[in-house]
Amino acid sequence: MNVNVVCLFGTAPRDRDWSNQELAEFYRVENSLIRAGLPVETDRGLSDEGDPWFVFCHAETGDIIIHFARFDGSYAVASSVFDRCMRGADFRSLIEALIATHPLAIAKANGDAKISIHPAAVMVAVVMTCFFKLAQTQAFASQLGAGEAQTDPASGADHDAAVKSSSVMLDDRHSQMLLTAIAFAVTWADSGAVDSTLFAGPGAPDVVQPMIFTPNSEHADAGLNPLNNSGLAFEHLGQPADHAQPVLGVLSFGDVAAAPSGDWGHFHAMLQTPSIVAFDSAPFDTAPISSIHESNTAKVAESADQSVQNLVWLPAKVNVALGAGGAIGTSSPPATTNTPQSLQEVNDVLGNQISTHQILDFSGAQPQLVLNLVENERVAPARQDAAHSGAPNQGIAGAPDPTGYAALLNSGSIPTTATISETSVNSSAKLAAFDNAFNSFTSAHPDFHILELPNDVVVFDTHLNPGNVGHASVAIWTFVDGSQVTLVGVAPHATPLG
Amino acid sequence: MRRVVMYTNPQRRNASDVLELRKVAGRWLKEQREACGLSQRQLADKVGADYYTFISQVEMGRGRVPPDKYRIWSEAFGLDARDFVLALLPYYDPVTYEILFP
Repeated sequence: MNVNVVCLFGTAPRDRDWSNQELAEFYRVENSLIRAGLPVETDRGLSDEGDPWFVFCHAETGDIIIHFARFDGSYAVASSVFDRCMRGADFRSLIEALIATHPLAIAKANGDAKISIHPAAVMVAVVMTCFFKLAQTQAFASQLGAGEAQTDPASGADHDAAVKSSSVMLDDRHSQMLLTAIAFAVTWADSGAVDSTLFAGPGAPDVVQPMIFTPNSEHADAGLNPLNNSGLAFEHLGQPADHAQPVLGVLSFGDVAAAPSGDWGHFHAMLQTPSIVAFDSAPFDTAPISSIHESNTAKVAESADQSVQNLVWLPAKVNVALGAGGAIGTSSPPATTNTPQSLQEVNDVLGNQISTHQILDFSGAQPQLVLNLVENERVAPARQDAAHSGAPNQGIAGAPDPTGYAALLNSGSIPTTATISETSVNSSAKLAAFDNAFNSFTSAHPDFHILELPNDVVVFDTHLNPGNVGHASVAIWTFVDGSQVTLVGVAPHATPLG
Repeated sequence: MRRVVMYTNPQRRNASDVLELRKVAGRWLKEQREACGLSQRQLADKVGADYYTFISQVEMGRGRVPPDKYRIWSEAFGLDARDFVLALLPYYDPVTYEILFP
């Protein structure tokens, strides 16, 4: 007698597959990267033992960027840019191990400091870093393949190791992409669409929320913000008491300012310094800083070859050392600058769509500068158009509605093309010129967000998307203390920047 | 000089073409593994993969067998290295294969 066994219920349940939460995290990262313009795609599967894996791939070449897996009771992450597969009890510990051993676009802790980075941004930064590191390594391989001198066997290995272990140097365009991707990831996480606990891990529950600080939260009111225990200093820029939106945060390690300065070693060291990922928008209480702007004077400098450090890198140069007392302070302007690039050289690298300016002898911190501009109402408020209908007017800091991006996308108001702002490079500028440029920018781009890095303020048009990011105009204002304000816009400019 | 070995797609084919070709290669690799009675974990041990899910990934057509691992993979399957490479080359490096074997 022949017996046919028919399975009526399909395949066996995939008990060990990724959880919905894990998958949501992966896909959120993918979506964030794609929306930022990175050509990535993902795939996943189960091994013959039922263990799950998930890969991020280069969409154009199929190359594997990074491989995540879970088997034998632990998580694994591997990439060709790492020397070996990393294992950990949870993703959080894995990522921390990665950061500890590989300088990444995100930061590495100094001393005893505990890394606290918004979990929604961690994997975005890790994957993006692997993407760019892979590109760097491939570029080097291509150079070798093109017949460059191959003499010293050790040098190739050294260079290989150096590429893998080095910090990622992002040009301005890629910096924008990273910022945008992080912005999307954090925005989505904070919208509540995804429970962002993947990187928390059982052993570190207190680092789930540290980077988004809600002043009205019980943590803040009771002085229990996890940041206080993380080795990170924190500055609350203030907002109305009845406002529950996360506030723009500035984080840095206090000992950064003591690092050697004036050479690229210092610069590389700063790349490994924990910096912020926290951001969002809310009206600022600018009263404590209202006098700073007025007390500073900007002088036009004739020389164009100084203080142009840190023009395009991420994380930004860290000069802002935030003390436990909470007041924003800036390190003193470098006594001497060993700047390896002139403005012209920088411009040659960045292309002529980048407008760079510098203001020498300006000793203030750019956050205050921007905030003071806000206080003086020289900035147009966020537009109240159909895309924002129903949302409260949140003023300068842009639309805090976490679904704002989606609303804009759905409204079809995002331009598919943008006019490139052909602004000339101006080697020197007065503070008033910056003021005018800032006002012109915010008038031309009423929908914008402010992303504040330890020593950078990036004001970017929320209309940035993968389709138009390549046409974005960028104006970078560098001050003598190394701080910068970057204006990134995609809408047609009625008034040239600067 | 030790070269930096990257397993990219110099053929510059359409990405979907690359994926389809690699899926075919992956299925062939899976057939070879199963013919040898090896689990993915056992094969990973034999070829020195740090994480055995890499085998599943390659069999799914994501990524590829690194060229510097051709010999050890062929040994794991009990195949001649030349035959192993000839079997994979049409899928991993079709342009090269077409030039060599028009």
